[in-house]
Amino acid sequence: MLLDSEIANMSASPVINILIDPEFHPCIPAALLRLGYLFPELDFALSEQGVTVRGVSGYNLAWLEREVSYQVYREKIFRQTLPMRQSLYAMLAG
Amino acid sequence: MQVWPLRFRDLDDRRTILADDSGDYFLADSGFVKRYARDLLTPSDEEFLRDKGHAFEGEGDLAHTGFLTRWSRRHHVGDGTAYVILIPTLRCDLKCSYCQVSRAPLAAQGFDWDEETLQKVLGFLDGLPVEEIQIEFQGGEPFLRLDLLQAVAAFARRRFRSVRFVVCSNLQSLNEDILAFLESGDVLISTSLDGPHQVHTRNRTADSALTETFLGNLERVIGLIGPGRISALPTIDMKDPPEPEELIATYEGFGFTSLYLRPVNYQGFARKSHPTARTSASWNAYYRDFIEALIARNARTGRVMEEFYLAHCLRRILAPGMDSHTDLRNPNIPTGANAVIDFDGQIYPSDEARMLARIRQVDLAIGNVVDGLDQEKLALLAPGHINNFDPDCIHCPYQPFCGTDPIDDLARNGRIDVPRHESWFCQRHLAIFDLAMELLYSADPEVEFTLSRWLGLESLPQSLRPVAP
Repeated sequence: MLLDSEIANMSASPVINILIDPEFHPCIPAALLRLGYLFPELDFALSEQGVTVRGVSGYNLAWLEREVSYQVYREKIFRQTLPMRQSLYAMLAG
Repeated sequence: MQVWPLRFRDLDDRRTILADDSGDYFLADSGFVKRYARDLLTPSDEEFLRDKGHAFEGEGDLAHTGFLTRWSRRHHVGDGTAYVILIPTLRCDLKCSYCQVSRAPLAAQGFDWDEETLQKVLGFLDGLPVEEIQIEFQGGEPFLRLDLLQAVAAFARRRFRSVRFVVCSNLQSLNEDILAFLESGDVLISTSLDGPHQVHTRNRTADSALTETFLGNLERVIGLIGPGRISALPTIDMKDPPEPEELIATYEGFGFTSLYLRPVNYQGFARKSHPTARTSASWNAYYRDFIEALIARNARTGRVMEEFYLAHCLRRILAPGMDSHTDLRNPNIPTGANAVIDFDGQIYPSDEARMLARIRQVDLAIGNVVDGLDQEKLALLAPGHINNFDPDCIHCPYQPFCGTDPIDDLARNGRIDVPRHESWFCQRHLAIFDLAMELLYSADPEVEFTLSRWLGLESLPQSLRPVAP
Protein backbone atom coordinates (compact mmCIF):
# COMPACT_ATOMS: atom_id res chain seq x y z
CA MET A 1 0.00 0.00 0.00
CA LEU A 2 2.94 2.33 0.61
CA LEU A 3 4.84 3.89 -2.25
CA ASP A 4 8.60 3.32 -2.51
CA SER A 5 9.23 7.01 -2.20
CA GLU A 6 7.33 7.05 1.05
CA ILE A 7 9.07 4.21 2.79
CA ALA A 8 11.99 6.48 3.69
CA ASN A 9 9.52 8.64 5.52
CA MET A 10 8.34 5.91 7.87
CA SER A 11 8.16 6.46 11.57
CA ALA A 12 8.37 3.99 14.44
CA SER A 13 6.07 6.13 16.60
CA PRO A 14 3.02 4.05 17.53
CA VAL A 15 0.67 7.02 18.04
CA ILE A 16 -0.11 10.09 15.99
CA ASN A 17 -2.53 12.94 16.46
CA ILE A 18 -4.06 14.36 13.32
CA LEU A 19 -5.42 17.87 13.52
CA ILE A 20 -8.77 18.33 11.84
CA ASP A 21 -10.38 21.74 11.36
CA PRO A 22 -13.30 22.28 13.76
CA GLU A 23 -15.74 22.68 10.87
CA PHE A 24 -15.18 18.98 10.05
CA HIS A 25 -15.56 17.66 13.61
CA PRO A 26 -19.24 16.64 13.24
CA CYS A 27 -18.12 14.33 10.40
CA ILE A 28 -15.35 12.58 12.30
CA PRO A 29 -17.39 9.81 14.01
CA ALA A 30 -18.77 8.56 10.69
CA ALA A 31 -15.31 8.80 9.11
CA LEU A 32 -13.82 6.79 11.97
CA LEU A 33 -16.41 4.07 11.48
CA ARG A 34 -15.21 3.60 7.92
CA LEU A 35 -11.52 3.97 8.76
CA GLY A 36 -11.98 1.25 11.38
CA TYR A 37 -12.77 -1.38 8.77
CA LEU A 38 -10.49 0.00 6.07
CA PHE A 39 -7.54 -0.25 8.48
CA PRO A 40 -8.56 -2.85 11.09
CA GLU A 41 -4.98 -3.06 12.40
CA LEU A 42 -5.09 0.58 13.50
CA ASP A 43 -6.97 2.06 16.41
CA PHE A 44 -8.74 5.35 15.63
CA ALA A 45 -10.22 7.61 18.29
CA LEU A 46 -11.83 11.02 18.37
CA SER A 47 -9.70 13.61 20.14
CA GLU A 48 -10.33 17.23 21.03
CA GLN A 49 -8.37 18.47 18.05
CA GLY A 50 -9.14 15.73 15.57
CA VAL A 51 -8.19 12.08 15.38
CA THR A 52 -5.72 9.95 17.33
CA VAL A 53 -4.35 6.87 15.61
CA ARG A 54 -2.59 4.09 17.51
CA GLY A 55 -0.47 1.26 16.13
CA VAL A 56 1.01 3.27 13.27
CA SER A 57 4.49 1.68 13.33
CA GLY A 58 5.58 0.95 9.80
CA TYR A 59 3.11 3.35 8.26
CA ASN A 60 4.05 6.36 6.23
CA LEU A 61 2.65 9.06 8.45
CA ALA A 62 2.13 11.68 5.76
CA TRP A 63 0.18 9.17 3.71
CA LEU A 64 -1.85 8.03 6.69
CA GLU A 65 -2.68 11.60 7.66
CA ARG A 66 -3.91 12.23 4.16
CA GLU A 67 -6.06 9.07 4.22
CA VAL A 68 -7.66 10.15 7.48
CA SER A 69 -8.27 13.65 6.17
CA TYR A 70 -9.73 12.23 2.96
CA GLN A 71 -12.22 10.08 4.89
CA VAL A 72 -13.32 13.09 6.86
CA TYR A 73 -13.63 15.15 3.67
CA ARG A 74 -15.61 12.37 2.01
CA GLU A 75 -18.02 12.21 4.91
CA LYS A 76 -18.52 15.95 4.86
CA ILE A 77 -19.10 16.03 1.10
CA PHE A 78 -21.49 13.10 1.38
CA ARG A 79 -23.57 14.88 4.04
CA GLN A 80 -23.46 18.21 2.33
CA THR A 81 -24.56 16.85 -1.05
CA LEU A 82 -27.07 14.26 0.14
CA PRO A 83 -30.08 16.50 -0.66
CA MET A 84 -28.82 16.85 -4.23
CA ARG A 85 -28.63 13.10 -4.61
CA GLN A 86 -32.04 12.67 -3.03
CA SER A 87 -33.54 15.12 -5.48
CA LEU A 88 -31.94 13.25 -8.39
CA TYR A 89 -33.53 9.97 -7.35
CA ALA A 90 -36.83 11.69 -6.68
CA MET A 91 -36.78 13.05 -10.23
CA LEU A 92 -35.81 9.64 -11.64
CA ALA A 93 -38.67 7.97 -9.77
CA GLY A 94 -41.09 10.62 -10.99
CA MET B 1 -23.10 27.95 -8.01
CA GLN B 2 -23.70 24.41 -6.77
CA VAL B 3 -21.22 21.62 -7.41
CA TRP B 4 -22.50 18.09 -7.96
CA PRO B 5 -20.99 15.61 -5.49
CA LEU B 6 -17.42 14.73 -6.47
CA ARG B 7 -15.75 11.52 -5.37
CA PHE B 8 -11.98 11.24 -5.42
CA ARG B 9 -9.13 8.77 -5.28
CA ASP B 10 -5.38 9.26 -5.49
CA LEU B 11 -3.87 7.95 -8.69
CA ASP B 12 -0.41 8.39 -7.20
CA ASP B 13 1.18 10.67 -4.62
CA ARG B 14 0.74 13.74 -6.86
CA ARG B 15 -2.45 13.21 -8.81
CA THR B 16 -6.04 12.62 -7.82
CA ILE B 17 -8.94 11.45 -9.98
CA LEU B 18 -12.30 13.07 -9.29
CA ALA B 19 -15.63 12.12 -10.82
CA ASP B 20 -19.24 13.10 -10.39
CA ASP B 21 -22.23 10.73 -10.28
CA SER B 22 -22.73 10.94 -14.04
CA GLY B 23 -19.24 9.52 -14.58
CA ASP B 24 -17.64 12.75 -15.81
CA TYR B 25 -14.11 12.80 -14.44
CA PHE B 26 -11.02 14.96 -14.25
CA LEU B 27 -7.53 14.96 -12.85
CA ALA B 28 -6.39 17.38 -10.16
CA ASP B 29 -3.75 17.74 -7.49
CA SER B 30 -4.57 17.06 -3.86
CA GLY B 31 -4.76 20.81 -3.25
CA PHE B 32 -7.94 20.85 -5.27
CA VAL B 33 -9.48 18.19 -3.04
CA LYS B 34 -8.64 20.25 0.03
CA ARG B 35 -10.16 23.40 -1.44
CA TYR B 36 -13.27 21.53 -2.56
CA ALA B 37 -13.82 19.90 0.83
CA ARG B 38 -13.31 23.20 2.65
CA ASP B 39 -15.60 25.18 0.37
CA LEU B 40 -12.60 27.28 -0.67
CA LEU B 41 -12.66 26.81 -4.43
CA THR B 42 -10.92 29.55 -6.36
CA PRO B 43 -12.59 31.43 -9.24
CA SER B 44 -10.57 29.36 -11.73
CA ASP B 45 -11.64 26.13 -9.97
CA GLU B 46 -15.25 27.26 -10.26
CA GLU B 47 -14.87 28.21 -13.88
CA PHE B 48 -13.39 24.80 -14.63
CA LEU B 49 -16.21 22.95 -12.83
CA ARG B 50 -18.85 25.05 -14.60
CA ASP B 51 -17.24 24.53 -18.01
CA LYS B 52 -17.02 20.78 -17.53
CA GLY B 53 -20.60 20.32 -16.37
CA HIS B 54 -19.86 19.53 -12.73
CA ALA B 55 -21.82 22.52 -11.46
CA PHE B 56 -25.01 24.49 -12.07
CA GLU B 57 -26.60 27.74 -10.97
CA GLY B 58 -30.19 26.64 -10.45
CA GLU B 59 -32.52 23.69 -10.94
CA GLY B 60 -33.76 23.48 -14.50
CA ASP B 61 -30.98 25.50 -16.09
CA LEU B 62 -29.06 24.05 -19.00
CA ALA B 63 -26.19 22.77 -16.87
CA HIS B 64 -28.60 21.10 -14.45
CA THR B 65 -30.60 19.48 -17.24
CA GLY B 66 -27.44 18.37 -19.02
CA PHE B 67 -26.20 16.66 -15.88
CA LEU B 68 -29.58 14.96 -15.35
CA THR B 69 -29.42 13.59 -18.87
CA ARG B 70 -25.92 12.20 -18.43
CA TRP B 71 -26.72 10.82 -14.99
CA SER B 72 -29.91 9.07 -16.08
CA ARG B 73 -28.17 7.59 -19.13
CA ARG B 74 -25.69 5.98 -16.76
CA HIS B 75 -28.60 4.24 -15.06
CA HIS B 76 -30.38 3.15 -18.20
CA VAL B 77 -29.13 -0.37 -18.68
CA GLY B 78 -30.42 -2.55 -21.44
CA ASP B 79 -31.58 -1.41 -24.82
CA GLY B 80 -34.48 -3.79 -25.21
CA THR B 81 -32.12 -6.65 -25.90
CA ALA B 82 -32.22 -9.88 -23.92
CA TYR B 83 -29.04 -11.79 -23.12
CA VAL B 84 -29.89 -15.36 -22.28
CA ILE B 85 -27.47 -18.20 -21.59
CA LEU B 86 -28.73 -21.69 -22.34
CA ILE B 87 -27.17 -24.92 -21.08
CA PRO B 88 -28.60 -27.68 -23.27
CA THR B 89 -26.16 -30.16 -21.78
CA LEU B 90 -23.75 -30.21 -18.87
CA ARG B 91 -21.75 -33.03 -20.43
CA CYS B 92 -18.32 -32.28 -21.82
CA ASP B 93 -15.59 -34.15 -23.65
CA LEU B 94 -12.83 -32.36 -21.76
CA LYS B 95 -12.03 -32.24 -18.06
CA CYS B 96 -10.28 -28.91 -17.42
CA SER B 97 -8.86 -28.57 -13.94
CA TYR B 98 -10.54 -25.21 -13.43
CA CYS B 99 -13.91 -26.12 -14.93
CA GLN B 100 -16.12 -23.57 -13.26
CA VAL B 101 -19.36 -25.49 -13.70
CA SER B 102 -18.19 -28.92 -12.55
CA ARG B 103 -19.16 -30.42 -15.88
CA ALA B 104 -20.60 -33.94 -16.23
CA PRO B 105 -18.73 -36.79 -17.94
CA LEU B 106 -19.39 -37.46 -21.60
CA ALA B 107 -21.35 -40.66 -21.04
CA ALA B 108 -23.36 -39.43 -18.04
CA GLN B 109 -27.15 -39.70 -18.14
CA GLY B 110 -29.64 -37.02 -17.10
CA PHE B 111 -27.54 -33.94 -17.88
CA ASP B 112 -29.26 -32.89 -21.15
CA TRP B 113 -32.56 -31.17 -21.82
CA ASP B 114 -35.30 -33.62 -22.67
CA GLU B 115 -37.99 -32.78 -25.22
CA GLU B 116 -40.31 -31.36 -22.56
CA THR B 117 -37.61 -29.05 -21.19
CA LEU B 118 -36.77 -27.88 -24.70
CA GLN B 119 -40.38 -26.92 -25.31
CA LYS B 120 -40.56 -25.11 -21.97
CA VAL B 121 -37.35 -23.21 -22.79
CA LEU B 122 -38.81 -22.11 -26.11
CA GLY B 123 -41.97 -21.04 -24.30
CA PHE B 124 -39.87 -19.01 -21.84
CA LEU B 125 -38.01 -17.30 -24.68
CA ASP B 126 -41.29 -16.60 -26.44
CA GLY B 127 -42.58 -14.79 -23.36
CA LEU B 128 -39.66 -12.37 -23.09
CA PRO B 129 -40.80 -8.79 -23.70
CA VAL B 130 -38.09 -8.06 -26.28
CA GLU B 131 -37.60 -8.15 -30.01
CA GLU B 132 -33.82 -8.52 -29.93
CA ILE B 133 -31.93 -11.30 -28.26
CA GLN B 134 -28.48 -12.76 -27.88
CA ILE B 135 -28.52 -16.43 -26.99
CA GLU B 136 -25.34 -17.91 -25.66
CA PHE B 137 -25.04 -21.68 -25.61
CA GLN B 138 -22.82 -22.91 -22.84
CA GLY B 139 -22.29 -26.22 -21.20
CA GLY B 140 -20.71 -28.64 -20.90
CA GLU B 141 -19.96 -28.74 -24.57
CA PRO B 142 -23.02 -27.41 -26.44
CA PHE B 143 -22.14 -29.07 -29.74
CA LEU B 144 -22.73 -32.46 -28.12
CA ARG B 145 -26.41 -31.59 -28.59
CA LEU B 146 -26.41 -29.81 -31.91
CA ASP B 147 -30.02 -30.91 -32.39
CA LEU B 148 -31.08 -28.75 -29.43
CA LEU B 149 -29.09 -25.77 -30.72
CA GLN B 150 -30.74 -26.15 -34.11
CA ALA B 151 -34.20 -26.27 -32.53
CA VAL B 152 -33.57 -23.12 -30.47
CA ALA B 153 -32.05 -21.29 -33.44
CA ALA B 154 -34.93 -22.14 -35.75
CA PHE B 155 -37.45 -20.92 -33.17
CA ALA B 156 -35.55 -17.74 -32.27
CA ARG B 157 -35.08 -16.71 -35.89
CA ARG B 158 -38.85 -16.83 -36.31
CA ARG B 159 -39.71 -15.19 -33.00
CA PHE B 160 -37.26 -12.27 -32.73
CA ARG B 161 -36.59 -9.38 -35.06
CA SER B 162 -32.87 -9.56 -34.39
CA VAL B 163 -31.02 -12.55 -33.01
CA ARG B 164 -27.44 -13.57 -32.46
CA PHE B 165 -26.13 -16.88 -31.21
CA VAL B 166 -22.83 -17.43 -29.45
CA VAL B 167 -21.72 -21.01 -29.04
CA CYS B 168 -19.14 -21.42 -26.28
CA SER B 169 -17.35 -24.48 -27.54
CA ASN B 170 -14.06 -26.20 -26.86
CA LEU B 171 -13.95 -26.98 -30.62
CA GLN B 172 -12.61 -30.40 -29.78
CA SER B 173 -14.94 -32.21 -32.18
CA LEU B 174 -16.30 -30.94 -35.49
CA ASN B 175 -18.46 -32.60 -38.09
CA GLU B 176 -20.22 -31.51 -41.25
CA ASP B 177 -23.48 -30.73 -39.43
CA ILE B 178 -21.69 -28.43 -36.97
CA LEU B 179 -19.88 -26.69 -39.81
CA ALA B 180 -23.19 -26.20 -41.62
CA PHE B 181 -24.67 -24.68 -38.44
CA LEU B 182 -21.72 -22.27 -38.27
CA GLU B 183 -22.24 -21.04 -41.80
CA SER B 184 -25.17 -18.83 -40.74
CA GLY B 185 -23.99 -15.27 -40.27
CA ASP B 186 -25.84 -14.94 -36.95
CA VAL B 187 -23.76 -17.66 -35.29
CA LEU B 188 -20.57 -16.74 -33.44
CA ILE B 189 -18.07 -18.95 -31.69
CA SER B 190 -16.42 -18.30 -28.36
CA THR B 191 -13.65 -20.68 -27.50
CA SER B 192 -10.74 -21.06 -25.12
CA LEU B 193 -7.15 -20.76 -26.26
CA ASP B 194 -4.94 -20.69 -23.22
CA GLY B 195 -1.71 -19.92 -25.05
CA PRO B 196 0.99 -21.85 -26.85
CA HIS B 197 0.52 -25.60 -27.41
CA GLN B 198 2.11 -26.72 -24.16
CA VAL B 199 0.11 -24.24 -22.03
CA HIS B 200 -3.19 -25.25 -23.62
CA THR B 201 -2.31 -28.91 -23.12
CA ARG B 202 -1.43 -28.40 -19.49
CA ASN B 203 -4.55 -26.40 -18.70
CA ARG B 204 -7.17 -28.09 -20.81
CA THR B 205 -6.59 -31.23 -22.79
CA ALA B 206 -3.84 -33.03 -20.84
CA ASP B 207 -3.01 -34.65 -24.17
CA SER B 208 -0.81 -33.21 -26.90
CA ALA B 209 -2.78 -34.98 -29.63
CA LEU B 210 -6.05 -33.50 -28.37
CA THR B 211 -4.47 -30.05 -28.43
CA GLU B 212 -3.38 -30.68 -32.02
CA THR B 213 -6.96 -31.59 -32.87
CA PHE B 214 -8.27 -28.41 -31.26
CA LEU B 215 -5.75 -26.16 -32.98
CA GLY B 216 -6.57 -27.77 -36.31
CA ASN B 217 -10.30 -27.32 -35.70
CA LEU B 218 -9.80 -23.71 -34.72
CA GLU B 219 -7.92 -23.07 -37.94
CA ARG B 220 -10.62 -24.84 -39.92
CA VAL B 221 -13.43 -22.81 -38.36
CA ILE B 222 -11.54 -19.54 -38.87
CA GLY B 223 -11.07 -20.53 -42.49
CA LEU B 224 -14.80 -21.14 -42.77
CA ILE B 225 -16.27 -18.10 -41.03
CA GLY B 226 -13.29 -15.75 -40.55
CA PRO B 227 -11.73 -14.47 -37.32
CA GLY B 228 -14.39 -11.76 -36.98
CA ARG B 229 -17.03 -14.24 -35.87
CA ILE B 230 -14.80 -16.07 -33.42
CA SER B 231 -13.61 -14.82 -30.09
CA ALA B 232 -11.07 -16.69 -28.06
CA LEU B 233 -10.22 -16.28 -24.42
CA PRO B 234 -7.23 -17.45 -22.47
CA THR B 235 -7.88 -18.52 -18.90
CA ILE B 236 -4.80 -17.68 -16.91
CA ASP B 237 -3.58 -20.10 -14.28
CA MET B 238 -1.65 -17.91 -11.86
CA LYS B 239 0.39 -20.90 -10.68
CA ASP B 240 2.16 -20.82 -14.05
CA PRO B 241 0.93 -17.96 -16.23
CA PRO B 242 2.04 -17.77 -19.88
CA GLU B 243 4.58 -15.19 -20.99
CA PRO B 244 2.61 -12.22 -22.36
CA GLU B 245 4.64 -12.12 -25.59
CA GLU B 246 4.02 -15.82 -26.25
CA LEU B 247 0.34 -15.53 -25.53
CA ILE B 248 -0.10 -12.52 -27.81
CA ALA B 249 1.92 -14.19 -30.57
CA THR B 250 -0.30 -17.26 -30.35
CA TYR B 251 -3.39 -15.13 -30.84
CA GLU B 252 -1.83 -13.14 -33.65
CA GLY B 253 -0.91 -16.41 -35.34
CA PHE B 254 -4.60 -17.19 -35.72
CA GLY B 255 -5.42 -13.71 -37.00
CA PHE B 256 -7.14 -12.54 -33.82
CA THR B 257 -6.97 -8.84 -33.03
CA SER B 258 -8.56 -9.10 -29.60
CA LEU B 259 -8.16 -11.34 -26.61
CA TYR B 260 -9.85 -11.34 -23.26
CA LEU B 261 -7.56 -12.19 -20.40
CA ARG B 262 -9.53 -14.08 -17.80
CA PRO B 263 -8.50 -15.26 -14.37
CA VAL B 264 -9.52 -18.71 -13.20
CA ASN B 265 -13.07 -18.32 -11.96
CA TYR B 266 -13.27 -19.28 -8.29
CA GLN B 267 -16.14 -21.65 -8.92
CA GLY B 268 -16.72 -25.33 -9.53
CA PHE B 269 -13.63 -27.57 -9.72
CA ALA B 270 -11.38 -24.51 -9.43
CA ARG B 271 -12.21 -24.10 -5.75
CA LYS B 272 -10.31 -27.29 -4.95
CA SER B 273 -7.60 -27.40 -7.57
CA HIS B 274 -6.86 -23.66 -7.90
CA PRO B 275 -7.09 -22.11 -4.41
CA THR B 276 -4.88 -19.23 -5.59
CA ALA B 277 -7.84 -18.07 -7.71
CA ARG B 278 -9.36 -16.75 -4.50
CA THR B 279 -6.95 -13.85 -4.14
CA SER B 280 -6.34 -10.98 -6.48
CA ALA B 281 -2.86 -9.53 -5.81
CA SER B 282 -0.94 -11.80 -8.17
CA TRP B 283 -3.64 -11.48 -10.83
CA ASN B 284 -3.57 -7.69 -10.75
CA ALA B 285 0.22 -7.65 -11.04
CA TYR B 286 0.18 -10.08 -13.97
CA TYR B 287 -2.58 -8.15 -15.69
CA ARG B 288 -0.67 -4.88 -15.45
CA ASP B 289 2.51 -6.49 -16.77
CA PHE B 290 0.55 -8.03 -19.60
CA ILE B 291 -0.96 -4.71 -20.64
CA GLU B 292 2.45 -3.03 -20.57
CA ALA B 293 3.85 -5.80 -22.78
CA LEU B 294 0.87 -5.53 -25.11
CA ILE B 295 1.24 -1.78 -25.49
CA ALA B 296 4.97 -2.05 -26.16
CA ARG B 297 4.40 -4.81 -28.70
CA ASN B 298 1.66 -2.89 -30.52
CA ALA B 299 3.98 0.11 -30.84
CA ARG B 300 6.85 -2.07 -31.99
CA THR B 301 4.94 -4.05 -34.60
CA GLY B 302 2.42 -1.43 -35.69
CA ARG B 303 -0.26 -4.12 -35.39
CA VAL B 304 -2.93 -3.61 -32.76
CA MET B 305 -4.01 -6.33 -30.39
CA GLU B 306 -6.81 -5.41 -28.00
CA GLU B 307 -7.26 -6.69 -24.48
CA PHE B 308 -11.03 -6.78 -24.47
CA TYR B 309 -11.74 -6.14 -20.81
CA LEU B 310 -9.49 -3.11 -20.37
CA ALA B 311 -10.77 -1.67 -23.65
CA HIS B 312 -14.31 -2.29 -22.45
CA CYS B 313 -13.62 -0.58 -19.12
CA LEU B 314 -12.13 2.38 -20.99
CA ARG B 315 -15.25 2.64 -23.13
CA ARG B 316 -17.40 2.51 -20.00
CA ILE B 317 -15.39 5.39 -18.54
CA LEU B 318 -15.80 7.46 -21.67
CA ALA B 319 -19.48 6.95 -22.40
CA PRO B 320 -22.71 5.59 -20.94
CA GLY B 321 -24.56 2.74 -22.61
CA MET B 322 -21.62 0.35 -22.86
CA ASP B 323 -23.65 -2.42 -21.27
CA SER B 324 -23.37 -5.34 -23.66
CA HIS B 325 -21.01 -7.21 -21.32
CA THR B 326 -23.41 -8.45 -18.68
CA ASP B 327 -20.72 -9.08 -16.05
CA LEU B 328 -20.08 -5.35 -15.68
CA ARG B 329 -23.21 -3.26 -15.58
CA ASN B 330 -24.91 -1.07 -13.05
CA PRO B 331 -27.67 -1.53 -12.14
CA ASN B 332 -27.53 -5.20 -13.08
CA ILE B 333 -30.87 -6.29 -11.68
CA PRO B 334 -31.68 -9.96 -12.38
CA THR B 335 -34.59 -10.43 -14.77
CA GLY B 336 -35.74 -13.09 -17.16
CA ALA B 337 -34.19 -11.15 -20.02
CA ASN B 338 -30.75 -11.58 -18.47
CA ALA B 339 -30.84 -15.12 -17.22
CA VAL B 340 -29.27 -18.55 -17.46
CA ILE B 341 -31.34 -21.68 -18.09
CA ASP B 342 -29.58 -24.77 -16.86
CA PHE B 343 -29.67 -28.33 -18.19
CA ASP B 344 -32.47 -29.17 -15.76
CA GLY B 345 -34.65 -26.15 -16.58
CA GLN B 346 -33.67 -24.17 -13.50
CA ILE B 347 -33.25 -20.44 -14.15
CA TYR B 348 -30.37 -18.49 -12.56
CA PRO B 349 -29.49 -14.80 -12.56
CA SER B 350 -25.97 -15.50 -13.84
CA ASP B 351 -23.65 -18.27 -14.89
CA GLU B 352 -21.83 -18.01 -11.58
CA ALA B 353 -25.10 -18.44 -9.69
CA ARG B 354 -25.75 -21.76 -11.37
CA MET B 355 -22.24 -22.82 -10.38
CA LEU B 356 -22.95 -22.09 -6.72
CA ALA B 357 -26.08 -24.21 -6.95
CA ARG B 358 -24.12 -26.97 -8.67
CA ILE B 359 -21.68 -27.24 -5.75
CA ARG B 360 -24.61 -26.94 -3.34
CA GLN B 361 -23.30 -23.79 -1.65
CA VAL B 362 -26.49 -21.81 -2.10
CA ASP B 363 -29.53 -22.14 -4.33
CA LEU B 364 -29.89 -18.86 -6.19
CA ALA B 365 -32.38 -20.15 -8.77
CA ILE B 366 -34.85 -17.44 -9.70
CA GLY B 367 -37.37 -19.88 -11.08
CA ASN B 368 -37.63 -22.70 -13.58
CA VAL B 369 -39.03 -23.13 -17.05
CA VAL B 370 -42.10 -24.98 -15.75
CA ASP B 371 -43.29 -22.55 -13.07
CA GLY B 372 -41.71 -19.36 -14.44
CA LEU B 373 -39.79 -16.71 -12.56
CA ASP B 374 -39.91 -16.44 -8.78
CA GLN B 375 -40.67 -12.74 -8.26
CA GLU B 376 -39.98 -12.92 -4.55
CA LYS B 377 -36.47 -14.18 -5.13
CA LEU B 378 -35.85 -11.63 -7.85
CA ALA B 379 -36.83 -8.86 -5.45
CA LEU B 380 -34.57 -10.32 -2.78
CA LEU B 381 -31.57 -10.38 -5.13
CA ALA B 382 -32.13 -6.96 -6.69
CA PRO B 383 -30.56 -4.66 -4.03
CA GLY B 384 -27.24 -6.52 -4.18
CA HIS B 385 -26.98 -5.81 -7.89
CA ILE B 386 -26.70 -2.04 -7.70
CA ASN B 387 -23.61 -0.26 -6.39
CA ASN B 388 -24.97 3.29 -5.97
CA PHE B 389 -25.79 2.96 -2.30
CA ASP B 390 -22.92 0.81 -1.12
CA PRO B 391 -21.16 2.63 1.73
CA ASP B 392 -17.80 2.25 0.00
CA CYS B 393 -18.86 2.68 -3.64
CA ILE B 394 -20.63 5.92 -2.76
CA HIS B 395 -17.19 7.45 -2.18
CA CYS B 396 -15.50 5.87 -5.21
CA PRO B 397 -14.96 7.89 -8.41
CA TYR B 398 -15.22 4.68 -10.45
CA GLN B 399 -18.74 3.80 -9.23
CA PRO B 400 -20.54 5.04 -12.38
CA PHE B 401 -18.39 2.83 -14.63
CA CYS B 402 -18.18 -0.13 -12.33
CA GLY B 403 -20.64 -2.80 -11.23
CA THR B 404 -21.08 -5.29 -8.47
CA ASP B 405 -20.93 -9.04 -8.19
CA PRO B 406 -22.76 -10.36 -5.14
CA ILE B 407 -22.60 -13.89 -6.53
CA ASP B 408 -18.81 -13.81 -6.55
CA ASP B 409 -18.85 -12.30 -3.06
CA LEU B 410 -20.98 -15.23 -1.92
CA ALA B 411 -18.67 -17.73 -3.60
CA ARG B 412 -15.54 -16.33 -1.97
CA ASN B 413 -16.76 -14.95 1.33
CA GLY B 414 -20.06 -16.67 1.98
CA ARG B 415 -21.80 -13.29 2.24
CA ILE B 416 -22.45 -10.22 0.12
CA ASP B 417 -21.78 -7.48 2.65
CA VAL B 418 -18.01 -7.63 3.02
CA PRO B 419 -16.40 -4.19 2.80
CA ARG B 420 -15.77 -3.55 -0.88
CA HIS B 421 -12.01 -3.35 -0.58
CA GLU B 422 -12.01 -6.93 0.73
CA SER B 423 -13.99 -8.23 -2.22
CA TRP B 424 -12.20 -9.73 -5.20
CA PHE B 425 -14.49 -7.84 -7.57
CA CYS B 426 -13.56 -4.48 -6.07
CA GLN B 427 -9.85 -5.25 -5.85
CA ARG B 428 -9.81 -6.32 -9.48
CA HIS B 429 -11.80 -3.37 -10.76
CA LEU B 430 -10.01 -0.74 -8.71
CA ALA B 431 -6.79 -2.04 -10.27
CA ILE B 432 -8.27 -1.99 -13.78
CA PHE B 433 -9.81 1.48 -13.49
CA ASP B 434 -6.63 2.86 -11.90
CA LEU B 435 -4.70 1.44 -14.82
CA ALA B 436 -7.22 2.77 -17.34
CA MET B 437 -6.95 6.26 -15.86
CA GLU B 438 -3.16 6.12 -15.77
CA LEU B 439 -3.14 5.16 -19.44
CA LEU B 440 -5.72 7.74 -20.39
CA TYR B 441 -3.59 10.48 -18.85
CA SER B 442 -0.29 9.07 -20.06
CA ALA B 443 1.88 11.21 -22.31
CA ASP B 444 3.66 8.16 -23.68
CA PRO B 445 3.13 7.94 -27.46
CA GLU B 446 3.16 4.13 -27.27
CA VAL B 447 0.21 4.22 -24.89
CA GLU B 448 -1.60 6.75 -27.05
CA PHE B 449 -1.07 4.56 -30.13
CA THR B 450 -2.80 1.58 -28.52
CA LEU B 451 -5.58 3.46 -26.74
CA SER B 452 -6.57 5.54 -29.74
CA ARG B 453 -6.75 2.40 -31.95
CA TRP B 454 -8.84 0.58 -29.34
CA LEU B 455 -11.22 3.52 -29.24
CA GLY B 456 -11.33 3.95 -33.01
CA LEU B 457 -9.71 7.39 -32.92
CA GLU B 458 -6.79 8.91 -34.80
CA SER B 459 -5.44 10.29 -31.56
CA LEU B 460 -6.66 10.92 -28.03
CA PRO B 461 -8.19 14.40 -27.81
CA GLN B 462 -7.41 16.50 -24.75
CA SER B 463 -11.14 16.66 -24.04
CA LEU B 464 -10.89 13.05 -22.88
CA ARG B 465 -8.22 14.06 -20.38
CA PRO B 466 -9.54 17.06 -18.49
CA VAL B 467 -7.24 18.50 -15.83
CA ALA B 468 -8.31 20.99 -13.18
CA PRO B 469 -6.21 24.16 -12.99
